[in-house]
Amino acid sequence: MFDVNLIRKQFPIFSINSTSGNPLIYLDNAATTQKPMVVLERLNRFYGQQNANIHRGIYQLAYEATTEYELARKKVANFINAKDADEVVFCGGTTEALNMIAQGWAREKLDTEDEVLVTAMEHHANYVPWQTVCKQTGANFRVVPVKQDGSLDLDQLKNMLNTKTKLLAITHISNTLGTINPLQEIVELAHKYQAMVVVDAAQSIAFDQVDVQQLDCDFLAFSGHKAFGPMGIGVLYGKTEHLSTLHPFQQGGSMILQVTERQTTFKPPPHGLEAGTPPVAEAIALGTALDFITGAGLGQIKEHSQSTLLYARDQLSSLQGIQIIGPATGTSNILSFLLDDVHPHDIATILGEAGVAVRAGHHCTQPLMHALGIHSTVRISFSIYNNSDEVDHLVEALGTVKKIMS
Amino acid sequence: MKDALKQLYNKLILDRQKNPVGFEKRENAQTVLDAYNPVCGDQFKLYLDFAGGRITNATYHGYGCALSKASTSLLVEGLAGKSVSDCEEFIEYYFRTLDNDDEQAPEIYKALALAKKFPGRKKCTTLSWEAVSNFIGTTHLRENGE
Ligand SMILES: Cc1ncc(COP(=O)(O)O)c(C=O)c1O
Repeated sequence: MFDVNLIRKQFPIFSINSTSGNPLIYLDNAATTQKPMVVLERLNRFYGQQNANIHRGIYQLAYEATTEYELARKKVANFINAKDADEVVFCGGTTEALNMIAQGWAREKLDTEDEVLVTAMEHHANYVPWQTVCKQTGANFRVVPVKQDGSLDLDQLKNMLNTKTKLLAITHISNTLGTINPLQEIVELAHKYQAMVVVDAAQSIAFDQVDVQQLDCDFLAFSGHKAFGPMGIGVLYGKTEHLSTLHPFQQGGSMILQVTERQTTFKPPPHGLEAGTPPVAEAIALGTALDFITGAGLGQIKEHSQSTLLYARDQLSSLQGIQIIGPATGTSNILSFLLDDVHPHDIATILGEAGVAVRAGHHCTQPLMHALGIHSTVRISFSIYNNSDEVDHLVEALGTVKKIMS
Repeated sequence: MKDALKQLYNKLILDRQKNPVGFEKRENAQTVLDAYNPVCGDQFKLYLDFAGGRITNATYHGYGCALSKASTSLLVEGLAGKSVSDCEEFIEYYFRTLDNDDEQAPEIYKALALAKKFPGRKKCTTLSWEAVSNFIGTTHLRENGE
């Protein structure tokens, strides 16, 4: 039987009190998840007992560090069902992965006739790099609109896709509204025009199954820190044939075959795309975080987060003056709302005093805010350790907001 | 801390953000300044007119939280009619009270000074003031006007 209290006990942060003296009520999982003890212990064990640089030392410790690092790569490959571990490139996070594709692949491939599609709900990390590379290459940057209910306008997407479309960059789940995009269908549509599909899986990796072979996406990016892993480690997945044409936009140690005064040859991917000393401990601990997810059950995480969200949606709806933004297609773990005409930052400050951590602002999705005609929202996002008591606490604290601000 | 919250969101601030003095769009003002906080998206336009080395009219318009709206209202209200050097003094005094908890300061200043106790909120009380301060510091208003 799933027991949220047993899960909570595995996260040390929940045993300390917030500044308000209340236990931490952490509803900002879309920003980053908390870390379970196993992940912290893994970091500690690497630095305490296994620390050596990888891919260079000819001694036991270095050999072990390298083995563990490569094992983590295999764990990631298994987790997203990549065909081959070599399709998994470690990098700093989603942002870095997307920039690697934009500057290492798109910049060389695009010309003035080409079109790049993004959606209006993208995080700036999956928007700005494409806008920039289009400016650099003269390609046409086009934005697929969202409807007022927060869903992607699929009809428009169909209209906009054409033989000039070289690439479609799209998020699996909106980090602001929680909209779940029908990726399977979208990838098929784009592939009819031979367009590459780049998936931002930052929000889905620890919520729903991400199977790159089934999706048939060309590239995919996510961050470890949103999946119970450390900050500073992320993953760029690419099909072998695409990774092999990805130009390494960072160059230096580790990634070369041979360097002479006249020219340098690079290792094949993934190592040719991992210049310098990577975050080894973080990569290994990401492997542990993925083990944690598998152990808890990804399906269980999804179900629990969804039911907590539905409970929250219900409870919030009973408050006068609540406006839920969306409601988005599908039920994810993310929900955005407004309360009366109180500014989201004022709401977040008052909630913060009650020990409830939420996010307020534009959530790095300014184009989406413009499309919806709003400036900012309050966002709550759930994970495996949240419970209905916390939702009740949130609703009570929103009552305080109304009292103070009326 | 509950008390601090009540002091921060006190009647003076809430009244002012609900019925802000000087909240008026004037696109044809002589000078239009942007006060923008990329962290939260708060964005005001500050509309200033000058004559003879004085600010003859100051208003603002835009989107922001209770604290930024109230503090910007205080700003434009205070600027109107002041000479450029008085404006500088006025703004410096405001910054000083925010930092030093001056007992003699007007109640609303003291309330705004509490913002620094709340994570990420101090900027809300200084955003527009900094915009005007930077503008005055970098223009030739003084030479032309005084
Ligand atoms: C949908 C989405 N894409 C990209 C990012 C960027 O992730 P990171 O900051 O870890 O690179 C985020 C995180 O905020 C996100 O939610």
